[in-house]
Amino acid sequence: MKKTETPQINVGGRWAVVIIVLLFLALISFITALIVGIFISTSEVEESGNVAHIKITGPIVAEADKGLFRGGAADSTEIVRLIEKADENPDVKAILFEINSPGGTAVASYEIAHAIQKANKTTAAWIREAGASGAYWVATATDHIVANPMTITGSIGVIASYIEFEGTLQRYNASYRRLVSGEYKDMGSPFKEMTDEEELIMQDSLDLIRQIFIEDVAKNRKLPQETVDEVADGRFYLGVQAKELGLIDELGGKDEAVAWIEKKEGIEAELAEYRKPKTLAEVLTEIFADNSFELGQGIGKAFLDAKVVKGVQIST
Amino acid sequence: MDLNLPEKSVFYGPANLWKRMLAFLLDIFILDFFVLSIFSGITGKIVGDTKEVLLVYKMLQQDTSQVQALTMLFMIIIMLALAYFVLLQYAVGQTVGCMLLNIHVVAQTGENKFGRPSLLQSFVRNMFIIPTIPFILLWIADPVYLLFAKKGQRLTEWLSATRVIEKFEI
Repeated sequence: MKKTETPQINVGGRWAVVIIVLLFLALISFITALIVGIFISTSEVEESGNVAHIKITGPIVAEADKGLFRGGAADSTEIVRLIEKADENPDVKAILFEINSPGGTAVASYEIAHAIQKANKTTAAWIREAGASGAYWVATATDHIVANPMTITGSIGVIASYIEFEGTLQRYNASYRRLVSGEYKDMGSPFKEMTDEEELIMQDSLDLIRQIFIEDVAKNRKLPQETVDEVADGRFYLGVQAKELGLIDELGGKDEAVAWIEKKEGIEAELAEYRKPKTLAEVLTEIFADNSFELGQGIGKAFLDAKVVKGVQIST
Repeated sequence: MDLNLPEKSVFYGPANLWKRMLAFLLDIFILDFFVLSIFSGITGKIVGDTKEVLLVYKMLQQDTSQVQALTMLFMIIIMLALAYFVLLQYAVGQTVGCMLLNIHVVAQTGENKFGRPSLLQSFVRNMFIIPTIPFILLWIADPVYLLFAKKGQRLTEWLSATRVIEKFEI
């Protein structure tokens, strides 16, 4: 090979660049590791204490969507797991449920309520702003309910309302092509008008769910079924009204709920929050939350997840 | 008596393949020390104290969120490794491994003329580090091309018009 030209750089300068680059990479690694490490350590479940504290906030659903724009729901699968975990812990003497939820799906509420009933611990519910409908169902499964005088509670009933788009489709000269095998297969589709028969079937289902709801509340609150039936017209009651009707046990807040547990168990309560630890994927997603792809995907998915296009959802 | 000896001839030729491989291994050690060791604590938190590969594999199979987390961490580490090669080859034409073995990464600017690689050239020649499709195909294509290339270039080196050379003196 002939003599060639190569770029020259003095040796001292080269090593200086190398050291700068290596220090830069180490610094980036250290900062990334530090941030992730902090998130991991703060996301650990606190398990030392004799009273497990479980939060039920947001709409109650069987499985909450995870992602940038889909937080804030009470996932019954996760809450049941936490109840079982607290129940298995011999150091835990009682479980305090902090409820702030407008309700949720019938199945998810039922699952939580029955997990509470199965637990062999003293249980208490502390309802904050709202503990209505399905959330109230959950609260009734505990041994003692404490709520603020202005808390919105009750709302015993079932709802499955939805928006019908048939008129809108007609207005824009679009039509719904009905292809079903089974007369009522598309019952509740928002793109067609519900028939009287379909409405009757839906109403029967809702009444049946309401009946299960009422029976459970009556059994849990040790109230006559007729009494619960009377108040179960779907309306909400403020804490003061709920107390008078026997729907809750005590007016107050966290202190009152904890005091009741202490008196019942003869212990000095030490609360330990039981919550789902954030997975590292969630932590890292938070760190990179400004990623534009996630942003677009999140917004798009949020629109697609809108209940109106999914059809009927039965909620309590 | 004056001897009419030829002058010392200095020229640059393709770097010895073993030197190149050794330089790469040295760079991996450097990265292990400066980057991987810093992340080892976090990966340990994810997979726990389990040392058995099969147990870790089973655990990850059951928890896809942890797999996502590990993948994201892995990608961060890969990006830092890529930055190491790209920045050093762009800035000084050598990684630490190359410096220790006295080989150079250069851009071919003409017939037997070399210059410093640009940032893009440095990136292209190191694309094989990215462990995703299609770059992962370079793990096969790069060495296969090297076996048949006359100038001792990998495929990405040919694409980026760069070479690894060393100094020869006669």
